[in-house]
Amino acid sequence: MVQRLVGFLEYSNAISELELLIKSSSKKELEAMDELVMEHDEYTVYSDLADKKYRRQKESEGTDDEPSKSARRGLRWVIALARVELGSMLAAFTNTPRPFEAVRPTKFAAEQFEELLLDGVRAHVQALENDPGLKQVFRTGVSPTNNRGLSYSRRLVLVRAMSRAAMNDTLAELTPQQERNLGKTKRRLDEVQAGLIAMIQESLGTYRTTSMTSYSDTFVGACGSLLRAESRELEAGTATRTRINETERTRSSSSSTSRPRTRSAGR
Amino acid sequence: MNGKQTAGIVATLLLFLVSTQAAADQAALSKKLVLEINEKVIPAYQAGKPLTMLKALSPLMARIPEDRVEAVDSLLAEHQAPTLGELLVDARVSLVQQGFAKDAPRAHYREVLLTSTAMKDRIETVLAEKEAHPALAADAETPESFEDYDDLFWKIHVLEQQLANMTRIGDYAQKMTTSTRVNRKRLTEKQLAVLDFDFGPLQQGLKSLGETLQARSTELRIERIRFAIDTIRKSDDFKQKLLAALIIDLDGNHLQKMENADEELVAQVKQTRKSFSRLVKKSRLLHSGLHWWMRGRYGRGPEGAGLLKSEQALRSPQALFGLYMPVTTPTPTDPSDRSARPIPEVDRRHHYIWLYEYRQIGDRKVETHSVSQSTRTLTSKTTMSRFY
Repeated sequence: MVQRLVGFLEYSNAISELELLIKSSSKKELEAMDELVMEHDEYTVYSDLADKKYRRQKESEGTDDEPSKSARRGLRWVIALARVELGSMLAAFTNTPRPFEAVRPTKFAAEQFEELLLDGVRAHVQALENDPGLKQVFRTGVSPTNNRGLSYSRRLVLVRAMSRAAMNDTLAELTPQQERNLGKTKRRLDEVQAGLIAMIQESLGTYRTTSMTSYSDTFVGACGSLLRAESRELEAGTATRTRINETERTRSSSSSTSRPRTRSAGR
Repeated sequence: MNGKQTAGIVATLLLFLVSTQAAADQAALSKKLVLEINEKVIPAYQAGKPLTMLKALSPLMARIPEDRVEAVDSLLAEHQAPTLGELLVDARVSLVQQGFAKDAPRAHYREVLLTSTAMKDRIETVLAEKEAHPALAADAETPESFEDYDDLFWKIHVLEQQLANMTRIGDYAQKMTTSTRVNRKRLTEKQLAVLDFDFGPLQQGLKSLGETLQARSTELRIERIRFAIDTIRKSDDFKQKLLAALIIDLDGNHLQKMENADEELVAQVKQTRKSFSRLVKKSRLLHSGLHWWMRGRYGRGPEGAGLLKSEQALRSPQALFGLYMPVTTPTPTDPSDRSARPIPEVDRRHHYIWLYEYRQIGDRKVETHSVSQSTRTLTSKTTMSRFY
């Protein structure tokens, strides 16, 4: 599936060529190339997408004359965006254990990469907080006619990988406040993911107890990647077990034979 | 009575007279005709559907003689639509350009009379551009920078596209006039002249201009190669040297494939590539890397609202590589500016890709189509016409 994503092949090749360029170029040459890229509008990358304060300010200003403060230009931003997008695709659609670390930039674009990563985490968290679809999933659960829980779980995998990478101290330095906020965000995301995993497991349990046992391999295969990743993370010590809030699981299942254990997954 | 009051009264009178005239004009049209224009032609025009509009309007031409055209124009003007002739020409030209000319309904001779003159005029306008075109004008200035050369090559490309379109239009207009079914005895001399117009000389003019343009383009490439060789050897500006390296690399390839290429220049290109091989390599890496990035940023796939390539991509290199790309180099818009059509359509792919679910629970495949995100819903469409 990841091969089908527009951008996977393209950003991979872009990074491959540009990284080779960076390794073979002097600092002066890199600055000149950075300037060359800055001169072209098509390479502009907008950041602060999650910054509502910025958006409100922009709306109140109502002017098109000034260049946007979130418009970033230059080779560093080009590379940073490619890496964030590629890392996201790896996180969401492959079993790569540390996807953003796998695409981690050299020092040349580290600061820009960190900014786009943090912005990405904020945007997703804001979206999840305001998304009625997620609340609906917790109300209705997952079933053969309702797969949305799987999609949201994928989103949680992606965002949690982003926030974990953002907290990695081998990248640009975070302020203590940033670290605290990220930690709090990550814990909340872990809880939501735990709830989704529990719901999926319950669904698997539900359908396994019916006469549709011939589909059991499909059931396991469908969510196997999530469950395997979860086991891996628990063994590696990068995931912890937490209790989930019972009110998030309001869907009752009369055919459920046992309550699945609740745990947060590291992936 | 002061001047303002007088002007107001005059304006009101004029409006009254125009409205009265318009009403009188439209009274000359049958109610059925007016209804069909209002209920079928106008909506199709407003929806930007040239084929639908043509299918509604073209058959009506049998009921619109020459002395009623003005009345129809007046009715169309009430809907802020162009004149009858322009509507028909624009629709047919649009279909020709998109390759759907064969789907257009057969033109009534009245439509042919109205439109073939307009098509002839458009071809002649493009041919007349030769005199003032910056690449072809007698007093054309010599480019002094790589940016100047880029600008000139872009203008050549635009004219080449226009020539290609006009050639298709000329072919279409000729077929239209020669295949028109009409009793020629009923036509005036002027009308016969329009119907019998030979587009051949115009087509030949277009072909000749195309050849001139091609030759000039080749000359400019050679001039640019010389300029690049000079720059790479003498300039201290690394950016300029990088651009020069790219030109020598790309245009040098064209030069080697040319018949009767200047051997001395070919040798110079080879020598320069060798002497500045590291710079050529860096230039290739930079421009190739940026080209791939552009495809990742602005490319659209055939599925998943542009976010996915087809399943064939897993088996075929062409399908894996192929994307719809913008025809002109895009300038991204600020995502926080909701009044602007978003460019690119997705500010970040990772905001949306998680939605695509290929897994299932149970034996029923359920596809998730709902889109839910914090920034915006995808309501705009980008028109792209190249797939490569």
